[in-house]
Amino acid sequence: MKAGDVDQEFLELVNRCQKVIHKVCWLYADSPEDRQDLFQEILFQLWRSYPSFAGKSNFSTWTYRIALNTAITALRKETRRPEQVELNTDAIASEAAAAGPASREQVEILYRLIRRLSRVDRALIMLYLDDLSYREISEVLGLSENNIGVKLNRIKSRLQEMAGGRP
Amino acid sequence: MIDLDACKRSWHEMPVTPFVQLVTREELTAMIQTRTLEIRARAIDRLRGESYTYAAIVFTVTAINWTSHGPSFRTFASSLAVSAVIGLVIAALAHKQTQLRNLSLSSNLKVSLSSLIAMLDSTGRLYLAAYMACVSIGVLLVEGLLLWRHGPTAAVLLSFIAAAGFLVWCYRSGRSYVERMFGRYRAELTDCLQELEAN
Repeated sequence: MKAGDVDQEFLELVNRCQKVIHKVCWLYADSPEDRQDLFQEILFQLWRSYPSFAGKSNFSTWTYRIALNTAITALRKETRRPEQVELNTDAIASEAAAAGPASREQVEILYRLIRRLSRVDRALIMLYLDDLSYREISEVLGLSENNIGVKLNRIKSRLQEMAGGRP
Repeated sequence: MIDLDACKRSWHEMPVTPFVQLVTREELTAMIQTRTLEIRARAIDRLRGESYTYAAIVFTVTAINWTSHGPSFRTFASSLAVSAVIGLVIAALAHKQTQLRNLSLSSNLKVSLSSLIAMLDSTGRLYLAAYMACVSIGVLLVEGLLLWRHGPTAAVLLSFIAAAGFLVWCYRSGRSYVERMFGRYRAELTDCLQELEAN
């Protein structure tokens, strides 16, 4: 296969999985510049690793793996973590109550809550919300399926707590 | 109260505002080329910074050598030897930086974190070893020269003690330099790994 064909094939696959990369950037980078930078870094890592993509897992699982590895291991420009950003928890709780079930606002609130979790927990809940099976999550993170279940339950309780409801 | 299962449906439906649109192969190529150049420029900057430290050591040793003996084939050869050792050290550092930069992130998170931590540790150790090797060679040359010219006098013996103290200070400062360079990043990665491994 010619280099141009490989580029085109890669481009098509990446364009199909672009939403994954964008979600990771929204969850792991604070400012628009950082998001842009992280996006480029993820794309670069994907492109660099693409020749070794053997197709053993599907492309989207592979994309999750590289995107999350890149976001989690990226060198922070400053030590301040997003969870230390001042957030009005009461306001979030009342917004969550007012928003009703599964509305767009609730998802936005969820985004804000997830950004307050640790980097590893953010990855886990994102994979859960994106409907990956425990086996696929295990492929991405390297955890046992039992451990994933335990951790997910803990994260869900934490999110409920943060949203103002009792777990 | 947030309904996570209901959110899951909306999570899929909700459009994620794209901040970068990839349209053509040319744009992709341009982005990757820019990235590659940026990474290379950062690596060269760092190496240049390292080289200044080692160039200062070569300059000091050469200056002491030449002022004691004047320019001769022997002093030229010894300066060349020190430069060669330092050249090797810089090459080893460059190699380590390339390894660190090219570390594959396609394994799972746990393996990637462990490999990155191991790589940082070995890079830190190499930095320290390279720094200490250069400083020790410089100190040995200067002390050897003093001993050769003046014999084992009290002043020379005192300079030996001072040199030993200097080496201890260099080791400590080298360690804290490595700690400053990799410490925070390593701690962040270790936190993530510990969190991942915890039940």
